Amino acid sequence: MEKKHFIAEVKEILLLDEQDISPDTNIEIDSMASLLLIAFLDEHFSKSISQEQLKDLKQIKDLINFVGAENLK
Amino acid sequence: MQKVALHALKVDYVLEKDGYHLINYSNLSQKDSLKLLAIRNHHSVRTRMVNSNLISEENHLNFILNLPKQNVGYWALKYKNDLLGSISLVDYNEKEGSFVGGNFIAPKIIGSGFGAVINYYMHYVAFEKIKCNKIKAIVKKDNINAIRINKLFGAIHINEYDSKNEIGNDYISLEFPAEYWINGIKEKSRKIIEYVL
Repeated sequence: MEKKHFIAEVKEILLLDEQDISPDTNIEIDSMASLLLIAFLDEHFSKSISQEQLKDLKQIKDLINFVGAENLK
Repeated sequence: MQKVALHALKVDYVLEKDGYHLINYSNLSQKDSLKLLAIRNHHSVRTRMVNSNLISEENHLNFILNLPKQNVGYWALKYKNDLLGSISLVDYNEKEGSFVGGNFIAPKIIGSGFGAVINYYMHYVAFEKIKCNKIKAIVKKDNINAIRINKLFGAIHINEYDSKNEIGNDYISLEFPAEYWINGIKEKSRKIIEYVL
């Protein structure tokens, strides 16, 4: 997946308002966002994520690391 | 287009998840009917609905008495003896094989992700039991979580709700085709609800 599409999807799932999203942008994952993220990661990266792992995602870079930077063009 | 099973609008369903049932409104005890009405009338539930007015007990019980005469389906979702929410399929369109779907969940589980579960069972009943071709839905524009859930279920955003319609411009109109359910949404959403249940 292209990185800009990944960021656009994440922005929509997490309802981020920021115009400029950087790896250091803080994220908060509510119950709805967690379900949408689970579906997104499974569909596009064939990755499963546990509730514990979700709690460890604090910034955009944590999400990028989870999917693997090499999987984002 | 497959034949819609209208008789299936009137029955109860034991769901595959242990302890979960869909009870047709016509088969609910009066006590449970009134408990469900109290949930529906709760401020945090009814204000998300197209018709957000309070419904009286008398009107609700009369409404249930008239259901058997109509091509509509209303079910309460129960877990053991606990009422968790409701799903409905109304406004049957014979030409399209479609229904307008609706649902709500109890205030105590709003924000828990259970909205995905009630939506899963609405799609399950509509496409696997009633065998309709399409679910239509109308969602308030400011109900962000409902819009997010609907995306998960493959909603096609038809248009902003017709401004000529009496309910005005505050709604969006969505459609869910049966083929989307069969070709991936069922499997995808099944995985999601496992996280909630």
